[in-house]
Amino acid sequence: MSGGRVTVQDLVFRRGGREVLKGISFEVEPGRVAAVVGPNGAGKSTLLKVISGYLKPASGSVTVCGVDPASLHPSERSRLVTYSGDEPDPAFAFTVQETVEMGRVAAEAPVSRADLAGALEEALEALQLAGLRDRPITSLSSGERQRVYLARALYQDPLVILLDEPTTHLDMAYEVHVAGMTRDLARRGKTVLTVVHDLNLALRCADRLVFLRDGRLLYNVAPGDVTSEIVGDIYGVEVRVASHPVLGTPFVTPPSSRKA
Amino acid sequence: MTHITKAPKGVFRRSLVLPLVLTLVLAIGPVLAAGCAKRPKTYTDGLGRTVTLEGTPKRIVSLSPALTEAVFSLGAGDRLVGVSTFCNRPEEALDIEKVGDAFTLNTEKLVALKPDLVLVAGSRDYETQVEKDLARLGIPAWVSGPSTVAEVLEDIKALSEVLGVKKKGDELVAALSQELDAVKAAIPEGQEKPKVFITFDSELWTSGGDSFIDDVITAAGGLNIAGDVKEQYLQLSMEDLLAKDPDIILVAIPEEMAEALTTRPGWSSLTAVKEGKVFFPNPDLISRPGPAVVEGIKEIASWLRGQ
Amino acid sequence: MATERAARNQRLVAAGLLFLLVGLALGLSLGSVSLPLRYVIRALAKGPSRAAVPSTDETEALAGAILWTLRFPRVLLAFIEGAGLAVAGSVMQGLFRNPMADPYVLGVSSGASLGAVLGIALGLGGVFGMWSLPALAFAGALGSAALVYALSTHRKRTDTWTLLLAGIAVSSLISSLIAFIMVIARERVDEIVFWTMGALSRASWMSVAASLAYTVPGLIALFRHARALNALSFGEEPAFHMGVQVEEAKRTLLWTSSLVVAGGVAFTGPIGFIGLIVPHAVRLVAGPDHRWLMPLSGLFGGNALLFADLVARVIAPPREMPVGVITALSGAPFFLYLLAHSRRRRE
Repeated sequence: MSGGRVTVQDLVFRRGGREVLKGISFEVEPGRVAAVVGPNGAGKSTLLKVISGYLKPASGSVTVCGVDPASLHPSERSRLVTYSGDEPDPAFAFTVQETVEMGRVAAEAPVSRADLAGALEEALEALQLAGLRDRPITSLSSGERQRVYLARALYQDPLVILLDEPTTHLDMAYEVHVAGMTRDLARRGKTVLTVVHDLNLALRCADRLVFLRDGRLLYNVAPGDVTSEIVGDIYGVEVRVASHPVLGTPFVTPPSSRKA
Repeated sequence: MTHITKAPKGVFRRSLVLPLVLTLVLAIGPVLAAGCAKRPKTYTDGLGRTVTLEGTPKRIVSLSPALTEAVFSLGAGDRLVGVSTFCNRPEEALDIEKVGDAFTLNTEKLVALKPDLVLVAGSRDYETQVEKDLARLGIPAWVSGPSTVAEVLEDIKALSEVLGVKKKGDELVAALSQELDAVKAAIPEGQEKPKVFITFDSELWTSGGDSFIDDVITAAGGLNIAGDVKEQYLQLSMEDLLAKDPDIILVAIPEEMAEALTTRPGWSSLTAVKEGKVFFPNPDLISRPGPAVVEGIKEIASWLRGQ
Repeated sequence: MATERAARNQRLVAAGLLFLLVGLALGLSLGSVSLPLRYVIRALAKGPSRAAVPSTDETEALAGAILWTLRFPRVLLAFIEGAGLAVAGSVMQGLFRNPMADPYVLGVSSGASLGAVLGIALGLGGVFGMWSLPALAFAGALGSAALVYALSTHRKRTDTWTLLLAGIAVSSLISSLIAFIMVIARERVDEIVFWTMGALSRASWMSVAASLAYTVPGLIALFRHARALNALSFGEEPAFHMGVQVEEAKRTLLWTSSLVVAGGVAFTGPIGFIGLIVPHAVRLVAGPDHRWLMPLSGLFGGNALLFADLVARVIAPPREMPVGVITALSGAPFFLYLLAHSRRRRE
């Protein structure tokens, strides 16, 4: 088993006559966290959605574990890869627990009740939702809802997890928490691709950073190899790359004034 | 230089006479002429209202099939210049210009025919739109709305007066009355009247105690099972029908549509159905308050007697 | 809490069954002719053939005829159709992610009306005996659904927004066609209007058998998609990622519920509010999980129509009100109450 290896080759995606992804190629090893970063409109969400099988590329290939997810039967695909991002406001008052349980709606493999219950508790605990389990999801804040959807993806337990800006509604404490969670997943052998808007967060939790700009992959580097030139090229902002005083990982500081 | 010639005395008097006479003629003449040619008369219509006409109507439009039949029976059919789309008896009526019906009147067509009288089916309880339109157009309307067979005969008499054929009217009414009396005489005394259910569609709508049909059934010697309800139309349920169990059922529906009625659940459980006492009267004969209703009554009476 | 909910839902099932029993008892004994319960039981025990044998007791003979030919099939038809409408309504509400959707969204009710109205206007009422109008109505309903579906499906993907709008547009078009026909076929207007108000007065054992034939398999197919519907109610994209076969599920759910509804409407004319109110109310009490919501909606929808028909039969003797009038008169105020209640809850 090749594990959750994600291979993207010359991927081109068009929407409304415009090329949103212009020939992207990269690979993510199983058990690694790759952060997809770049300015707005670079095509980061689109990239993840194509990998998940939800969008069909115009040309190029995507394989997860050596298979094209789009070609799989939905229940098989859901065991292989899932995508978690922003969702429309929920229409009905399912409880938190009911919502998380839907992660396995397509599961066919017979799993014992006890195992299922255990996995559910794990997912709830990972996002600190145990106390909210009976609350209707319509009564939660957007941050709490985001955690519920993340827990659902965890409960679904595929080999590859695609996270699209999983911390936008979360406060600082949860940002750190989710960063730790992605590292945990990688340690357990999962492959995580996550779109992150905060470069520093990416630098803290990812094994690789994939830099996109205008639908093109410009850099694919380890955090330690991120330079101010790369950041400047991608974001058009002059920054200083320093070493985090506590964690030792690199972090980026924007300038105090605009680039001249 | 003008000459002033003094006329002789006699000439003056003679020259005055002619202009005087001329003036008188010019002034009085039209009045006289009008009086001679058209004398306005007032009549009462079927609803008791007064109708004013100038002379005998010669161009008549009938919006009521019953009144059309009456006009033809009175021998004045050639005076009809327009009829409604529902006027199908007698056959000659089919050739007359159609101007719409009691609900949607083609006023333009009507006016184009220049009628001097319009016959309308109406009701004592309200004024129909057609009546309002005719009033607005200034065309005299003769409205009829008989609710019993006796009133039908009265209306025929009144109509004959308007049409100027009073003698024919009296004869017609006398003949019809005679036939009705014969039917009445044939009804066995003291016996219970047969219970009759009549319907005009497949949803069990029937005529109540206030309706014309109710009177028709009574005149034929029957008892309308819906007669105790003081309404014109009402709908019965199949359960009601089973409970009331009529002796005779009259189905006034075209035969090809009757199947929708006879396939209703419960229909075959009715006594009248099981005994074959279901008959199909011609709706035009029994629901039209016109002279032909006597035919309808005779037919129903014969079915009732066959019991 | 999950177990609490399960327990409460089980109690709801019990309550629903109890209502059903009461509804049957009342529905069989009340009507234009009131039958004492003992006659009802005796006639039911005798069975259809023996009850038809003329008995010395007139009321008993009458009871036998009325019960077996009229009331029993009618009461059953009411329950079956009410169940179908309510389940279909719950499906539509889940699919469109809107608790205000009703089962006629695809224009099924107007299509059925058009079919029946054409049949009445052209005098085809007797061509296939009692089956002609229902057959025409069914054809009309499916035709309308197919049109709406075709308008909103492009390359095997059906867009729910377009579906809603196309449904509205097609329904409006059909309504104006019906109005046109009503003007031209003036002599049959009464029959047409009556049909469109929805009535159970023509219920027979044949129509009960036919209803069961399409409702039972239809509901089974729908119940099997309950979990998929749960996921779909979060949105089509989330459901995709959870592993639901989205387009197939949508297609099955839309078409199966339309078929169930079309079949019902074909026999009785359109009956409103059951498919809208019942699932909405049940959801408020039993929760949005379709594995409970659908069967409970079916149970209470059947009961609702059963009771509505009972009211229709006894409210204005000797008339029988069209049941569609009763469901509208009671449904609309109840709906307003639900609206106000839910707003208060949110505040």
